[in-house]
Amino acid sequence: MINGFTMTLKIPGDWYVNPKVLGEFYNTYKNHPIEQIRKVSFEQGLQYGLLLKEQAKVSGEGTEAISKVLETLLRDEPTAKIIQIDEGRVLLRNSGFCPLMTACLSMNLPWTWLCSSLGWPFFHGIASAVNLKVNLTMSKRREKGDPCCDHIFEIGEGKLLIN
Amino acid sequence: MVKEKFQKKSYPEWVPDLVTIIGSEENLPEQLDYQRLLKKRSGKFGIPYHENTETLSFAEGTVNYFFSKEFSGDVDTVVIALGTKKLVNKSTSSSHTAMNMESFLENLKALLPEPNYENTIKLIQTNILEETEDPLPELMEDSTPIENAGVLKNSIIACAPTVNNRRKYILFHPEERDAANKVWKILSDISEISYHTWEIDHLYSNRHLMFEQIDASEKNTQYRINEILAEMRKPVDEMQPSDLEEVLREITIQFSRLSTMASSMRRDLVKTRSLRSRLREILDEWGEKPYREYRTNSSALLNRMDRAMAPFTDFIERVEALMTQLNTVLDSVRTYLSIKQQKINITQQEASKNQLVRLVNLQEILHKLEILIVAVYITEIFKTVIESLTHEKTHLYTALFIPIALVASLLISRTLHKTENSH
Repeated sequence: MINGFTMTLKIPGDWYVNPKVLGEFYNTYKNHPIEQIRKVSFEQGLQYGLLLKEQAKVSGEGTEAISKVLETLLRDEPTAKIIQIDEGRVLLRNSGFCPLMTACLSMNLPWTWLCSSLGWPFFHGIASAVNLKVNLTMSKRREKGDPCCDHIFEIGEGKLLIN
Repeated sequence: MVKEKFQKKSYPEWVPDLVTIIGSEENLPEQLDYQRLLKKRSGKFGIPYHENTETLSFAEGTVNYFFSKEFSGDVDTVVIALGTKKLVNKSTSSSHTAMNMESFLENLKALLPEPNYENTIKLIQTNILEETEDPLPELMEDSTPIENAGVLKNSIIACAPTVNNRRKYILFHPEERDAANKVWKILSDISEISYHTWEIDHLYSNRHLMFEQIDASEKNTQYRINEILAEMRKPVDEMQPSDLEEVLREITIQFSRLSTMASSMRRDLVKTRSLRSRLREILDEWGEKPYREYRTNSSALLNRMDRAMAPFTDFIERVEALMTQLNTVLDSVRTYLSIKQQKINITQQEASKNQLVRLVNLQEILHKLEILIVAVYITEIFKTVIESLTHEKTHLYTALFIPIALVASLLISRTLHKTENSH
């Protein structure tokens, strides 16, 4: 239960290539306020991130640890790559044909709605499993016409920032 | 399939003055206020009312009203038509009636959900075909420009550009026998055209972002394909099986993704083509002719549909081109693997050959040893025989017998192996 909002769906780690899960998610939450849905997605990402952290035997709270958890999650995804790890900053770029876009196209689901309500908060949750103070800034988004999606993970106040 | 969605309705026998066609994705029957209003009106005039009634026609004072729900599917299309009664005494203020009609229409529209599209058609009974000057610019309200106009038999239909999914039409029709039927047929066609146009626009707008993404996504995938092909140019020994496995997995993922996208986009294209084909049928029935210098409604509409369909075809073709390239990459990987396999086979063959040579050599040595052993055995037998005959010069005779024993052993060995080979 998050802020009086019951989680009825368990989101698997491969949700972004799973049209069935995306369809169920959309049908369950489409009429809820976006902030509530994001909380659900964040929480699911956090739980999954803790599992990944344990599986990949990741320790520490820094960018290396965040990068390793994300890499473990996206090991089978050719379009998503961690392209930069700096002091306190990890840049994850999704370029090429987006898996979520493909899944949404095949099932006629709203791509940008799913990005915003499920995708970004879920990834924020994954990184937060390493450090709860991680901010996720979506500096580039295909949703607004950018050629790729840039997810910047930085140690901050634990916020999801959509520029 | 598309045609069956719109059923023939029984339309009133009067010609309307003002018609609004509203399409809304929200389910209209759930709009209780709208239903209640109709119920109240029908009760007032003693018309039986059922909640599932798809058409309702009644008169109030000098105004005729007609309501019709054209279609229940993705979008509910409601047609609201109002017309003034033809009175013998025309002293009734027509401007007052028109004002009432428009205000009633506005009140009713306020009860309806936000429309996805709205068409307002003003009908004027006149024969402008006989007029020398172009009357259209003056007749369109608020100096709205005329975008298209055309002649449908004796009528003229003109329309203004679409603004926020709202479009205004003017339909000029002559006073003639069976005018109501002809007018309602055109209105019904406009209703269907509006719905199908909205469907195509809706399909296009749902895919708009994907069309915008194709350039960047195609470029990135192309880069990756080139990278993989460059990897494939490396000497065979430099690439490990695990690298090849990685490449194969990536190609498989990309290939299935592109295939899903191409087939999904093709599904939408087929739907769009089917809608365009239905529009074409309606417009062919219209047989619209040009009016003055205006572009015909039919030509503008079909052109717009073609423009909306073009990105679907473009997307499919570009994705398919990438799939062809990925097939080339797959062929490269297969060739690479085949060369690698061939090299392994050659190495294995050489190793087998060397082993065989060693075995043959060993066998030859064994043969020689075999001859020697048999010779020693024969010599020993000869020595035993000689010793029993004479003790003198035993060693000399034995020594002299050794070459004979060797020859005998050789002959025995050859005879035995010959028999073995013949078996």
